[in-house]
Amino acid sequence: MSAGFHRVRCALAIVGCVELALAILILLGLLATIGSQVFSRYVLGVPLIWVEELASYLLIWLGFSAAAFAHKQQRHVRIAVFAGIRSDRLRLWLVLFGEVVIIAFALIILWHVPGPMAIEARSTSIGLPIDIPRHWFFSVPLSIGMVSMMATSLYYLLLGLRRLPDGEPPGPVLGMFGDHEDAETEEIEQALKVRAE
Amino acid sequence: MTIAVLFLIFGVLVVLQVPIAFAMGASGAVYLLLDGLFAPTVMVQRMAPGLHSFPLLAIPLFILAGHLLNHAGIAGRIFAFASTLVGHIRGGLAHVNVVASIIFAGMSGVAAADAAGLGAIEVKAMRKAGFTAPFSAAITAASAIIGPIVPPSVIMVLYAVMARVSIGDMFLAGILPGLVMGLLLMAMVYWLALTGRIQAPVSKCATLPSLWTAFVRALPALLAPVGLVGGLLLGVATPTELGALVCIYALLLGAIYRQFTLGRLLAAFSETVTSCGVILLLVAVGVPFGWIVAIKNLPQLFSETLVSISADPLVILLLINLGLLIAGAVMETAAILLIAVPMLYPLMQVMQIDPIHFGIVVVLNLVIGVTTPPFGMILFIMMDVAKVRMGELVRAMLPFYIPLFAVLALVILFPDFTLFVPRLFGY
Repeated sequence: MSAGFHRVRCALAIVGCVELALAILILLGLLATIGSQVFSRYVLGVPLIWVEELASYLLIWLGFSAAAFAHKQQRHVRIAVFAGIRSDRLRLWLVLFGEVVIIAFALIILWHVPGPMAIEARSTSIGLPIDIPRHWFFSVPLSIGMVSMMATSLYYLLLGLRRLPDGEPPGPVLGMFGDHEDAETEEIEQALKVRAE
Repeated sequence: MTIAVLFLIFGVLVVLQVPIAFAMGASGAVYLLLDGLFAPTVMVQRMAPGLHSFPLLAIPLFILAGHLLNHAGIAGRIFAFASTLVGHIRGGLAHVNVVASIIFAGMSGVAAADAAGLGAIEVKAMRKAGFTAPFSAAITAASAIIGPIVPPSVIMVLYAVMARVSIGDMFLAGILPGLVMGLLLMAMVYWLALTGRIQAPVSKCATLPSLWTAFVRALPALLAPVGLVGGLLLGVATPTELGALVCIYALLLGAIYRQFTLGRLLAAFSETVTSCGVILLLVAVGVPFGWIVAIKNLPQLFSETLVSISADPLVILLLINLGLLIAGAVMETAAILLIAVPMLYPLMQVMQIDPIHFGIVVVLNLVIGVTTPPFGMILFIMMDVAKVRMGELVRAMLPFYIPLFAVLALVILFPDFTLFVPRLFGY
C-alpha cells in the first residue's frame, strides 16, 4: 500500500474511532436517560416528559454513526451469491461494483438533503428543555453518516482499482475492538471445570 | 412505471453482492428517479424520521444487553447450570446446549449473537466431550434460533413497530412456541442418541448439592429473563425501558463477577454498535422502500392476487409461509420484514388473521429460514465457529428441521398456541 493510501486509511480509521466513541456515548446516554425515567416515575413520582423525545433523537444519531462505523469494518450484510467463484479478479470486480453503488446512493441522498434540511430547520424540538432546530436530529446525522460512508467506499474503490492486477480485495479500515478471544476461552474453561466437579 | 422495476433493480444489486441496505436504498432512489412521480427527496424525508421511534430503541438496548451478558462471564455459569440439570440425560451436552440456549434466549434477542457468543462455547465444549463437529454445529444452530422467539427479540420489536402492535404482546406470544421448540429439539436429540445415530457421551447424574451450587452460581443470570418477563406481565415498564434496565443489570453483574475488563466492555459495546449500524441502516432505508411499495398500491394488488387463489385463511397463511421461508433462506431477516410486513399486513386484516399470531408465524418462518441453505446466516456463523463445510452441516441439521417445522405447523394450525399467554394477561 502506498503512503497516500496508508494516510487515507489512517484518517478513516480515526474517523471510525470517533464514530464508535460517539455511538458508545449515545448508548450510555440512552441507558442513563431511560434508566432515570423509570427511577423518576417510580421513586420520585414525577415522569420526565422529555426523555422519550431525546432518546428517539439519539437513536437517529446512533443509527447513522453506527452504520458508518460498520461500513469501515465491512460488516453490512451482503449475500455471498458468488462465494464459490475462483476468479479473484471477478470477486474484486463485484466488490468494486458494490462500492460504486454505495457512492452513487450517498451522492443522490446528499444532493437532495438541502431541501428537507431547510424545512426541518424551521421547526424545533418539542419536549426538550431547550429548543433545538430539528435538522440537527434528522438531516445532519444522515448527511454526516452518508459523507463518512461515501469517503470509505471511495477509499475501497480506489484501492481495489489499484489492486486489480492481483485481484486482492481491499480489507476493512477497522478490525474488531476489545477483548474477544480471552472471554470465550475463560468462560468455557470455567464451565467445563464446574461440570467436572 | 411498474413497481416490478423496483424489485428487479433490488434483486440484481443483491445478486451482485451489494450490501442489502445499500441495495434497498439505491433501488428506491433509482426507481424514484426513473418514475419521476416523486423526487428522491422522499428518501431523505423518510430515512432519518424512520428511526425516530421510541419503541425502536428496544433494538439497540436488547442487542447491548445480549453482548454485555455474553462478556459478563454469565454464559459459563448458565452452561454449567444446564450441564448439571440435563447433562446426564441420553444425549448429554446436546441437551445442555438446548437448555443453555433457552436460558440465554431470555436475555438476548438476536440469533446471530447467540450462535456466535454462547454457540462458540457450546461447540467447543461438545467437541471436547467427543461430539462430531457437524453435529455440534447443527444443534447449536437449531437451538440458537430460539433466541429471537423467546423474549426479548429484536425482530419481534421490528415487526411490532411496523405492524403497530404491542411489543409486550409479541414477546408474550413467543414464550410458548420457544419453549416447545426447545423441548422438541431435546426429544429429537434423545431419539438420535437412543437409536445410535449420534455418539453422545453423558455425564453422571448431578447430586442435589452440586445442582444447588450450580443454580446459585447461575441465579443472578437466571433473574434477568425472569425480571424481563415479569416486568412485561406486570406492566412495570415498557419493553424499551426493560431493555435499558436489563443492560444496567448486566453491567452490575459483570462488575460483581469482576469479569468486566476495559477490553471486554469495549468488545461488548463495539459489537453492539456494529450490529446496530447494520440493523438501523436497514430500517432507515426500509422505511422509504416500504413507502414506495405502499404508494404503488402493491399491498392491495398482492392481497387481491392471493385472495383470488383461495379465500381460506389457512391456505393463504401456508402460501405466505412458503414465500417467507424461501426469502429467509436467501435474505437477511430484517430486510425481509421491512419489505414483507407492509405488503402482507393489509391482507392479514382482510383475512381477519390476528396480527400477533401472524407476527409469530412471520418470525418463526424467518428464523427457520436463517438455518436453511443456501444463504442462511446462522449456517455461515456455525461453519466458521465449528470449522465445518456447508454440506456436512446441512446433513447434520436435517433431523432438527423436523422439530422446527413441527412448531411452525402448530403455530399456524392453532392460533391459541401463540395467543394463549398474551390472552392470559389481557390481550
